[in-house]
Amino acid sequence: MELKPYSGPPEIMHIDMNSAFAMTEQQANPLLRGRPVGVTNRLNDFAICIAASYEAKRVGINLGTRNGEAKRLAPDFVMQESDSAKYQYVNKLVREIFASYSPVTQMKSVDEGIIDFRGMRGILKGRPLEEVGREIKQRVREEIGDYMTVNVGIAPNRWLAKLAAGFMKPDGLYVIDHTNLEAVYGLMDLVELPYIKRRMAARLAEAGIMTPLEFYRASEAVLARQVFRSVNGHHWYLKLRGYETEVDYGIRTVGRSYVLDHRTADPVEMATLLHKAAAKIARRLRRNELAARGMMLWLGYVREPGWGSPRGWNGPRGWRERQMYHVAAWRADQLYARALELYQRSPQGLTVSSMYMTAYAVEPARMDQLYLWDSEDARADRVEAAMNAVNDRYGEQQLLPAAVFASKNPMPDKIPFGSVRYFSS
Amino acid sequence: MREHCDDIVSVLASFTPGPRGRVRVTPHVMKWQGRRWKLTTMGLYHPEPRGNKRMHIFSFASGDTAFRLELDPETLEWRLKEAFYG
Repeated sequence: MELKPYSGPPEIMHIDMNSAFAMTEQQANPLLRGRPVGVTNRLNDFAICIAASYEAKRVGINLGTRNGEAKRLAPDFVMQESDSAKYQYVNKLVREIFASYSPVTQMKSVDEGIIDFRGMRGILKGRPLEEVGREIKQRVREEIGDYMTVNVGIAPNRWLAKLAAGFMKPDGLYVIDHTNLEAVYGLMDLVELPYIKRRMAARLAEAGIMTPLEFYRASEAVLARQVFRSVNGHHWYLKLRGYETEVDYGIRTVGRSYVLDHRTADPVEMATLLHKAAAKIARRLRRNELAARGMMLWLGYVREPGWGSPRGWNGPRGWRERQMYHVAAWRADQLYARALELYQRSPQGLTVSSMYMTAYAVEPARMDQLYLWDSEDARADRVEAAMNAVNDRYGEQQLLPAAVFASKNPMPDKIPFGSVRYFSS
Repeated sequence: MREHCDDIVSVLASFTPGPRGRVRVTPHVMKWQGRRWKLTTMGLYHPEPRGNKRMHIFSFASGDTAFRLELDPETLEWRLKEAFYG
């Protein structure tokens, strides 16, 4: 029997900022308003756009466009280096606005979040959520900046609320419930649905599902057994009908990615970079009283010509390895040892251009462990705690392990694209 | 064009009550390179933690030039860090 769409009131509000990083730069620098602007993590010859303003997107500048290419597309294009402190502060103000409406809020990433109004009807005193949404848009302009705009989506579940927020971009406000659900699906392409990208659309197409309406009308059996072949099929069947399926799992991974200023094949330089990244991850873990059992390392290689292929490089584009350990680690030296162990399995002699290191299988750390006898571990814990205290007081990377001191590659804090749950408040 | 600098500058600023009990600080006039620059459009204020110190950063425009100005809460020095010529 087919499940009817959820007919309760839409009480989940999704808010996302319009081209958040680029718009924040346009807010900060009034001369950039109305101009094509891009943001990059490191402003150098290889800089690629990691966020683009609406003006830039209109002329075809998007995520991944190189600086030179962007300048060809728009001669007045300006590339800005990302400013993590700026975005963290804007994110903090947005979180404060969210928290003034409901105790149940969640920032899903640096530029989007959820306010859960379920059970809040008494506090709202009959005010419709559209009115609250308009008020939030106004407060963002007044309390953060007059150029800042947000999209607001209201729906019965998080996925539909995200869909609603993207429906009338930019600066939109839209409500989806059981009365207009099919009409909304009828106006969209599959790849416009949140989390449906080209590969997923191709999988759906194999089952004869070419449009959002066909996706919505597909039976649970087709989705679970033919398309997703997992419990995800059941979840999609529910979320397309407005039932909540998303669960907040908290912090699951803590990672650090980095594009090298000085590309290198030197194992000693790579070891210093791994050590630096381990120190940063350890600091985040410790701040959140977490430890991790898993370690993953990804390396991206420079594609150099002369490897026999007529088009140049035919070597690997990247390499990845991961390992799960019995004991959870939170100290930099422990994480470094694990990362180094993985690195030693990688193909040697290739020039590394980027790296990504992540600690996964995160669990609460038992940092209050008492040592019966003073041990190397206990001493190392105390040293790291003392180093953290110095860095807390005098600034990041004021005190570093000696092994990383000579590195040519600085590793400043850059935009975190994923979770913001380990942002300092 | 962007110019990075680190110049101590004189600033005339106002301190007025802002939302949620905060103080809103607005720089109005800045003296730099022998010239007075009057704020025409306020951009953004944001703090930047440096250890346990919290620097206050003001971004604003004066005509067709935009500035990034820092206030050190310990020394009360204003430092101009960047000028952007539109």
